[in-house]
Amino acid sequence: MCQFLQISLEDLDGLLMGLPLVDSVRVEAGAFVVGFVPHDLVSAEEKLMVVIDAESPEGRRISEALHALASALGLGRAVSFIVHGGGAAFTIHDEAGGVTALGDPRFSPQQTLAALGALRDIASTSQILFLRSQRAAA
Amino acid sequence: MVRYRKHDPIAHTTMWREELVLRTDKRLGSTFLSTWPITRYLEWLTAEVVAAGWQLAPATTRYRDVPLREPVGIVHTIRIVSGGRTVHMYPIADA
Repeated sequence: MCQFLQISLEDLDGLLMGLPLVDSVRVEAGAFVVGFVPHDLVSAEEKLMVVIDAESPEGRRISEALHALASALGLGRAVSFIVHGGGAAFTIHDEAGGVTALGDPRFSPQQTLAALGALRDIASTSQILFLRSQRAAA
Repeated sequence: MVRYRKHDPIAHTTMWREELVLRTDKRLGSTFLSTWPITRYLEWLTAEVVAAGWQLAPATTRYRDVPLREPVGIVHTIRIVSGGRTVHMYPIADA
């Protein structure tokens, strides 16, 4: 049985485009270097950065999110680099040198929402890791 | 070196202060003044990274804040950030 939920664009904006946001993701040397725009309650900084071991639980989650992102957009190749362009604009580079712009009209709203959800997951995971590292350092 | 289009220069003089603050918030990104075109951005950033001797080692991060006398956005300070093998910069609030 199907159930429909009524969600406004404002709700979606709050859910997927609120802070934290991904600023950049780079895959290198067995790690993910993630820049993110933190929630105001976490930091007043415009962006923060964390390095996440690919084999850690958080790293595996980031890996799954990147796979979900590539799958949602039908990239067919692994993501190597993501750059935030402001708001819902993201540029996604794949391992073969291909470049994809999130927001490209060839993507359906479902594809775009799935991709934004994966990016949201990466940002949240990175922010949690940052908070945990701050607590450990205190 | 990575170009973050959200930090690209915009004409600050054509906006009201309130509009400018919204346009350059955390979600949209701080922007350079139009006196900082991409060529100047590249040359200045290259010189700073070389002078600082940064090696841009994989999976490491570092940053450096550079206060200037001239405005770079609605502020006077530039933050240079390296994340692994890449480097970029953006205006930040003055200390």
